Amino acid sequence: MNKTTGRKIGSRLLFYIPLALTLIFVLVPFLWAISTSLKKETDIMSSTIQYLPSPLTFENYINVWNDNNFSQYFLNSVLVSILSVIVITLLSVMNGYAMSRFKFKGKSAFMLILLATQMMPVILFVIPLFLIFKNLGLINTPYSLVLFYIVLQVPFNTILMRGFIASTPKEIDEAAMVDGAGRFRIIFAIIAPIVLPGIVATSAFAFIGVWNEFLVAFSFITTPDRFTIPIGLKFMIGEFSVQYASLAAGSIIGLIPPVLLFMYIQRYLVEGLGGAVKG
Amino acid sequence: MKTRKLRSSVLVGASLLLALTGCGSNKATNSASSGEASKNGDKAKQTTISFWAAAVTTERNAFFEKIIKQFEEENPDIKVDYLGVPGDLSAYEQKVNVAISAEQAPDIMNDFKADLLARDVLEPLDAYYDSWADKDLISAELIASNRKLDTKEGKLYALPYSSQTWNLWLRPDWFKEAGLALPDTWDQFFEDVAKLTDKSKDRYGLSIRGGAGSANTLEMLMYSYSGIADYFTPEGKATINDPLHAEFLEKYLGAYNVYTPEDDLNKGWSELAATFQSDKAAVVVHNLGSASSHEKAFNGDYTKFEAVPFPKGVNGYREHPGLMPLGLTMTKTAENKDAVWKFMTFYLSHDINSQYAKLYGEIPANQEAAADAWIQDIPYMKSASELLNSADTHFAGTPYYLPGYSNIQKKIEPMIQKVMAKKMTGTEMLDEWAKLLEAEKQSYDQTQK
Repeated sequence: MNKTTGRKIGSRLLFYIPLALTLIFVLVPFLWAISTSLKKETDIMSSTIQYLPSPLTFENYINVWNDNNFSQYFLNSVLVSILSVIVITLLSVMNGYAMSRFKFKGKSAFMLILLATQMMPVILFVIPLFLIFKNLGLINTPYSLVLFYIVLQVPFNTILMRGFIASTPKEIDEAAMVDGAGRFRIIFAIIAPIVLPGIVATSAFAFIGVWNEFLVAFSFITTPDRFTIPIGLKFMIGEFSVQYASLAAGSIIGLIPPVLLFMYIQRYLVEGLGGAVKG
Repeated sequence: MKTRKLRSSVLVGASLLLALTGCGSNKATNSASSGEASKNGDKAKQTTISFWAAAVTTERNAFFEKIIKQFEEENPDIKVDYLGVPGDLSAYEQKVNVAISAEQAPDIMNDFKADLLARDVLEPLDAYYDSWADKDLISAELIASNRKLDTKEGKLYALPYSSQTWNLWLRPDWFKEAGLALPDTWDQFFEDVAKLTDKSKDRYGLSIRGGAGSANTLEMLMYSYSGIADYFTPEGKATINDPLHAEFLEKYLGAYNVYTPEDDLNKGWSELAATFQSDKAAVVVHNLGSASSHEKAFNGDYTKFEAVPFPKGVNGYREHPGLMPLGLTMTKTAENKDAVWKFMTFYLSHDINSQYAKLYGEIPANQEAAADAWIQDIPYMKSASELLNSADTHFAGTPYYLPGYSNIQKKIEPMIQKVMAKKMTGTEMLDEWAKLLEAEKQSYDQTQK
């Protein structure tokens, strides 16, 4: 082995070892959850640790989906997430455009306030917004959750979108205006396709935030058939009992949409994050 | 240009409003619509009451849905809006607190805390209870312990449905294998724990709860060891830092990482139960509520798990923590209080109370239900029932009436970890604990004047 080959192997090891280590730390809990979800409940607590399920069973998935009402929770989560993400994205793009293109009095203060809202814990918003939504007749509906998530996520995503939009030249807007385009057309027909990676990144983060949210959904929903997945999972963690196999199966079901989504959009995501840095 | 801009803005705004508020109005009145009679046809006289059950699992949810169906069939004029709240009690309290703040509290809750009395949320039940034909069927001790929460007037604010004991959950098969008798004194307990530890086989004599809930467990154990009945002297000094408690701490927390697994430092109930159920520990301390989990884990094999009372204290008698006040409560905002009471008494009827207690692994409050055969057939239930009913059992005066009682325990939990890790002495921790209790008592006494 000559020096060059040795150096090549050395640099490859330096590259791959940290990657492999990171992968192990990220993947092991995930694989452990999959393995647990395919075991019988009684095998999980056995004195000898079983790394692989034996016998393998899909019972937990069937039970969780049918008996634990997960099919309903899943649909509720999908509905709330899609509605929220659409509105969050729309508002963030429009706000981001305004913050990037317009000059107005108090713009810096407005930005500061937007940032400041991100420092407040969610629990602070729960009671006042519960009262407002109660008066609007929205408590115990998915729409109270949608509104709350919009309130919670729009400030951060506005700041994010401002970065993306600021990186597109203003001359594009001016050229479009000369051709007779209005602001809405400029935003949605011209700017949006340019900052699409940013929009995708923003929507993806908004989706994850909404999909995983527990506290607000738990506080605002008072009918079991309107629960979302994070609350549904809580049914498997009682005061003095934990159904580990069902919990693992439920978690895997809950993981599927975000995983699929990120697999699909990962290309945009990388481009999007690059854009955010540029902005 | 301007017109187009305006039109677009109005269109977007209107569609958003329609999408959100229009759709939202559909079933908003479904929750806790107490007292609203349905205006259509045969349901004209039906009233609605709401009931939120705490710490509900899928199994418990099925039970509640079943009994509510039965109640509605027997009482066609009453509809029960039921919500099984998943998660632990603190999650339930959080949800209830939000609802109370927004005046949307359910009519019936199975949460009973001094804090709710202090906030004037609950309706006294004395008038209903006094005129109830079956009142003598309910355990007088449980009624008395519930009355203790109202130190001023002794009113009844919750109808008790069950009780549960604190126990040592242990492995009788391990004790038998080692030729050891089950512990009856604390000295014997510590000797057994040492003998049952075999680190080479990853087996420990004991597993200590060092994470969430640790202070509560430790407090119950200390008072059982010392046999001190009162938490405060007549002068208002706390007894928690009594030298006997320091002595117990030295032995019990001193067993950490000697006769216990190292990861006990962070164990809450789930982790503690997992340690016991996966053949790693001979003894864990918890109440009867663990029963159903152990039943499942050991496939109902009673040779592998058993509940025994805490050992006799240094004074030679067995002291049990004061019975925790619990039961169904009626909120002041309930509009149909008679219907609420009807549901509460149904919940306490012989058959329902028996089914409930069997599912939850607790002793029924209904004395007829408590005499059911299943209690004698299940070893841990028999042991718990005997302990509660024994004339030799003393009960400590646990101050559940202090609104900040459980918060103090939460504040102490990190200190317990420090003592386990030998970064703080047991005496230092107990002195801090005493200060917190004394301050809470003083503040409570002020409000009672």
